[in-house]
Amino acid sequence: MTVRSIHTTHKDPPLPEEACLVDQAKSGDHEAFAKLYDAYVERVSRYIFFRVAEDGDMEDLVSQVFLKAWENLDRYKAGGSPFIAWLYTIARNLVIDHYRTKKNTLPLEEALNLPSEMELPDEEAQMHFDLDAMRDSLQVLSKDQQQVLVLKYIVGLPNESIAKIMNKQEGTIRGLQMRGLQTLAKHMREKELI
Amino acid sequence: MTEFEKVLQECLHDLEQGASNVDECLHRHPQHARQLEPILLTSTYLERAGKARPSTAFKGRVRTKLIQQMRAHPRQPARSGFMFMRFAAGLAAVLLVLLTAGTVYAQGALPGEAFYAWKLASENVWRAVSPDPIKTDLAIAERRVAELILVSNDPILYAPALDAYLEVADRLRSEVNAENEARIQSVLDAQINELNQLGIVLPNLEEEDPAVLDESTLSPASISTATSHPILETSPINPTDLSQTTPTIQAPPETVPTVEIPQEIIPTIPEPPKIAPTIEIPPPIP
Repeated sequence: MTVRSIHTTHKDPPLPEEACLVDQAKSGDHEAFAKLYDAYVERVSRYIFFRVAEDGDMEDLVSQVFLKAWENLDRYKAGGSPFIAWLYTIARNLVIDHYRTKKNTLPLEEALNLPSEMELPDEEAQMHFDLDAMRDSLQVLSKDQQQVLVLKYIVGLPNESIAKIMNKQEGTIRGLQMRGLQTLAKHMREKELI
Repeated sequence: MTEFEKVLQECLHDLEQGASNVDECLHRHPQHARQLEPILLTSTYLERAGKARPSTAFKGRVRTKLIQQMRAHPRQPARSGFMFMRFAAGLAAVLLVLLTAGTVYAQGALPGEAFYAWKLASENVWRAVSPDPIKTDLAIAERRVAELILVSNDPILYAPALDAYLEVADRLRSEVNAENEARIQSVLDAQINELNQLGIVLPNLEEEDPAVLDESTLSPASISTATSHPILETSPINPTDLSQTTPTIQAPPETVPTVEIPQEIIPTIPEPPKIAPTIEIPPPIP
């Protein structure tokens, strides 16, 4: 099976009891917040990975995202943006702070597992290459294009949420997505990555 | 939007929804296949990158660290009415401060001033909670005397001040019994003497026997003066004497024209217990 023939639907299903868990966590319920952590830790980790390049201290940054969410939970209004979008906002601010301080971090390979479709050793090695290459290639895009592609493909947000986060129209988001993909594809082809 | 952009958007949507894969899209749009292929492959790689997940060990370490940090930073239980209770408590505190400040300020108010009613209200509370109402009334009477002295030169404020004093004096006298008579009477006497020394002559607070009133009490001049001082209507009288006083309150027919009071006022005078006993009239107001 090649990449060309894979049907890719990677949307994470919404957490049905999210609002209830948020309410319980606001009341100081550790277990309720731990369930929110379990539901969103992978998406937050991917975002951190793709935004912090090879120096990202995954463990520290991911735990900081959730700790800040815990401490500031009263600021989150259930019924507005999805909880993951709020987590992303926290993560983005932490990444900005991270780049300001330039912390030394763990290598990526210690933190990430491979996608379930790439469990064979050869494909596993190839996927490591793909992840690193993709993260490096994203740097050739504009900030807005990077943000749209990471939020859409890595965090898994719908265009509607991305538009709200970036304070832009959904049509603008689609345009940034297509131009970003074109630029990224050109770069990866030049690097013989695809 | 160009035709290529429309095709690209359609293909990206199909890939996103899982409706088709890259090969199927290229097969549907052979005229754009060369341009579409790298973009759709890039999209697919990104999709697959989005499936990367942290290891179980990584998630476990972060989870453990997070729970430790949460315990170190416990949240206060969120109560729906917490903010309201805080607001209500703050508002109550502000009102209490304002009430206290207003009450303190009102204690210096004189008759006719805006805060005087507040002062009287606070005194009523004082009396209500006092373990010794007589003592409180004596203290209040002292206040009224002080007010009367302060406004003695004010023709407008004098009458209400005098009224206020006499009201307290009446109340005290109504509470007289064998045990406290000396206590009350001595204070009232001292107050009358003090006022007299300052040239303020009060109506006699002692009960008067209406029978001893002579005509001079109801002289036109006296009545004329009395009408400007409501105290004439508040002098005490023993109710048991009403039957005796009734005949004496009839205003002599000859006095009516000289008093120059409208005829309709005269019927109001026959409130015998309140008018007849007055034997002294406050001095003319300067």
